[in-house]
This record gives sequence, C-alpha cells and structure tokens, in this order.
Amino acid sequence: MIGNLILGGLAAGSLYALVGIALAIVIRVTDIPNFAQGEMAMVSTFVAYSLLDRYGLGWWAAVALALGFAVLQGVAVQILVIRPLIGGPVLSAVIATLGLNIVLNSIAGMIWGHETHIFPSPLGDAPPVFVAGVPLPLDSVANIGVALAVILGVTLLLRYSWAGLALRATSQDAVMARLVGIPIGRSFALAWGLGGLAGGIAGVLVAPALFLDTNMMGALLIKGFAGGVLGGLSSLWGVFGGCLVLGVLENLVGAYLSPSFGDALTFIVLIAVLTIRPEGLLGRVRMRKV
Amino acid sequence: MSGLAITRLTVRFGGLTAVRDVGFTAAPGRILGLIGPNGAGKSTLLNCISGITRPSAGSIRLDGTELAGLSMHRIAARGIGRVFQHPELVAGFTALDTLRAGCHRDLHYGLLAELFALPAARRQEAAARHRALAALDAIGLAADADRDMALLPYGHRKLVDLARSLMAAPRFLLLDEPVAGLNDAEIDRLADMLRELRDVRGLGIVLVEHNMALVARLCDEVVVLDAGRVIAHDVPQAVLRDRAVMAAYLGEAPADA
Repeated sequence: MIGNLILGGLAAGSLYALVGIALAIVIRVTDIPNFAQGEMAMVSTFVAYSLLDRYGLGWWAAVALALGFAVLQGVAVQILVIRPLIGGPVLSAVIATLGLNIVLNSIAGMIWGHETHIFPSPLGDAPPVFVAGVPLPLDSVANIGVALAVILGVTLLLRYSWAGLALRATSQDAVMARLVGIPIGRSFALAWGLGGLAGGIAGVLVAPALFLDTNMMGALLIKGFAGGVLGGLSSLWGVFGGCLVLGVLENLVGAYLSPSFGDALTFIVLIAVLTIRPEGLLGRVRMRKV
Repeated sequence: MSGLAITRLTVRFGGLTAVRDVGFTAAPGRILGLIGPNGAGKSTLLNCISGITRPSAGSIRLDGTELAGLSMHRIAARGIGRVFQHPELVAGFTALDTLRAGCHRDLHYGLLAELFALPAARRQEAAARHRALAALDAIGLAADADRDMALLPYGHRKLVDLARSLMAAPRFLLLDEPVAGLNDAEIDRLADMLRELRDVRGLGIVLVEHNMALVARLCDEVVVLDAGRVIAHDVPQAVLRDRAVMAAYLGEAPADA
C-alpha cells in the first residue's frame, strides 16, 4: 500500500517537475515567472489532439508535431508579448503572462469547446510493471523516465551547446553577455521555446491520465511552482527533487489524513519554504553585482 | 576614414555631464592610452563605445560606420572587443566555456537551427570548440581547459579573458585596467601580448590604465581626460610632462591659469 502511494507520488511528481522545469528555465534566463506556462501546454496538447482526432495522424507523429508547435509557441509569446515589455518593471511582464493565461484559455474554449475529451496514451493497455513487488502502471513509469530524460537533456544542452552557454551567460549578467557578443534576444526566445517544450511534454503526459479539457493544467502549474520553490528554482535537479517530494507527500497526506488536504499541502509547502528558506533546498542565492 | 573616430561626444546623466565634447581617433595598429583621475569619464567613454551607455550627443564611427545607437552585441559583432576588469564571466564557466562564449562570430545559423539543434548548428559549434581549444593552447593554458575559471590563478583568468575577446576577431580592443592585481611578471607577459596584437595583427587598442609606467612604455599616444574633457592628447613622454596633466592628477592649479 505505502509502496504504491510512494511510486504513484513519484509519477505525479514527475509531471509537476516537467512544468517546474519549464518555469525554472524561463525564470532563470529572463527573471519572469510565466503564469501562462500551463495554458500554453494545454493549447499544444489540444493541437496534438486535433492532429490525432481530426487529421488521423499516428500518436508519435501528432505528438512530435505538437511539441514542435509548443517550442514555436513559446518563442512567439516571448517575441510578441514579452519582448515589448523588456526594460520595464518585471511586474508588467508577470501581469502580461497572467493575462495571456486567460486569453489562451478562452481561445482554446472557442476552438475546442469546454467539454472533456479523451486523449489516448500509447501505453494505455500495457500491463503494469512490478517495482519491488508493487504493480505500477506503465505510463507512471514512463512519466518518471520522460521527466528524467528531459532534465538530463536540458542539463547537457546548457553544459555543452553554444546556445546553452549563451543561456547561462545571459541568465547571470545580461550586459556582460552582450558585451561578449551574445545576442541575448535569442537567448530569451530560446529559453521560452525550451520552456514551451518541457510544458508541452507535460501536457501530453497529463492528458491521458486525467481528461483533456481547457482547465487541466491549472492545478499542475501551481504544483510545478510549489515543487520548484521547494527544491530551488535555480537548480534543475532541485526542481525535480522538490516536485517528487511534493508528489509523494501529497499522496501520503491524501491517503492517511484526508484526500482534500492533499491540495492544501501544496500551498503550505509554498508558504513554508518561502518563509524559511526562500532559495529552496538545493537552490543558490543569486548575488546581484552592482 | 579608417579607425575608431570619436567626435564631439557628450554624455549627460541628468544634470551631470560625465563626458563633454570629447574627440579623438584611435588608429589600427596603435595603442592609445586613456588616462585621467577617478571620475574623469574614462569608463563612461568605454561604455559608450561598447553601447552600454547611449551618448547624449556626438558620434562614434568605426571605419566611417556609426556605432552610437547600435545594441551592444551588434557593436561587438562589428569588431569592438571588450576585455573585462573582472574576468570571471559566469559562475561555473570553465576556461574553455569562456573562450567558446566569445565564438559568436563563427556561428551563422538561424534561431530555428538553434532551437532544433540542426546539423548546421552542431557542425559550427564543433568548429568553434576546436578553435577555442587551439586558442587556449596558444596562450599555454591548454591544461586549464576544463577547470572552473574561478579556481584559476588571477593572471591566468586575465589571459583567458583576453583570448576570449580575440575569438571574435575584433578590429579594436577596449581594455579597462587590464593589469590591476597582476604581478610584474604577469604584467610583462600581458604587455608583450598586447604589443604582438598591435604589431602582428594590426589591432587598434584603447587602454584605460592607472599604471603610468605601463602607459609610458606601451602606448603610442595618450589621451588625458579630466572632468569629462580632453585636456591633453600626445605621445606619452609629452603627456606625462604636461603641466595641466600634473595639475589634474595632483590637484594643483596650473601656473599659467
């Protein structure tokens, strides 16, 4: 029983982590918490749904195209919505993302309606795997694996590619990066594109587990945030760990205390961490050079 | 008109005029020293050339092309290199990372190729990495390639940052107090490197420096700023004997004023 709860919590936490990573990449490079990240993921998941349902594409083709869309969507949002606000107070950009959140939700409602749809999973009918004698649905295992792969991929990209180098430089000191010759506009766009990708992956993984509807990402956004804050948004592994801990705690508290308390836990964690250790468990304090 | 020509440049911050009507031309293949007491406007002037600070009036032309008003990375791409006073660019960057960061001129792929890591992007990045390793080898620091910049000796960090600025094949190099904190041997090594860049590569160098001995033996000409104005512009020996310059440094009123 408890093994099941823990593994189920890890699977849910992996989904939070994908959203958390999307948020963390964007915050690290551009200092903006993107409150539209969830709705952007929801829209790209609906794009996958339309490609599957209306255009009859196979699952992998539809999802690959939708993830390409998720990247471009992130870049487009950065260029069209955020870029004109650069140089102003960060709060303007934050409010813009909140507005975008509502706009995307309404547009998705107009296009796809507010009823729930069923989004298939390629692993839906697979038999469960047994981990330490505990039966675990294959798609839960896949969630954990995909989240790990995404973090590893992003870590390698930041470490070894020139784009990653530019992202790291931009995230620490934009003026210095530009003096070196790094076009930081591109770094910003890239960070939003990567964020869009991680969010989009979360969307197509969440949709089969819940139902696909326009409000499916709302709770996930807050949980990705809370888990990220818990682990420390400045560290991708911190985000991953924080979200896993949150997923497991939520499951345990839901089972042993009260199911409705699971959600409240998210906010308790958020407030407690921000009060006691704002940089998160694995986060680093960012020093601003003057 | 070849060279880096600064004409009637003025920078005002609110009511304060940090740079007033400054004009001089830095020529390729020469080292121009920019000296003056603290607050004279030297750093503001460098920041203007780099595009960090927008001038209030005047022009900055590189071979006849206006730079004032361009964004920083465009100015860098046009061939204005900057060497930093504090060379640890980014926490966690290795020496090799630092040099790769300077390789933007080698990379010509578009945003889409970057986003989706297309082969063109990967090939160009591999070439840039190769060139960065060769540059580290050339300054004798190949062994430091994978070491964290913050853990390198200070003198090595300075050399790595100088090499980093050269990766972009600049035409002019701006250096802000390059030898501060270096020992005599390291100063000699850096001076030799700058001379070689001037004589072999034909680079133009603008050097902000407080070390007068270095200015005297390294610079071909010296511009002296005081309170935002040019008060002298001559060969170093003449400038360092100039009464107005001594007055600005020592705070005495010139005898003939």
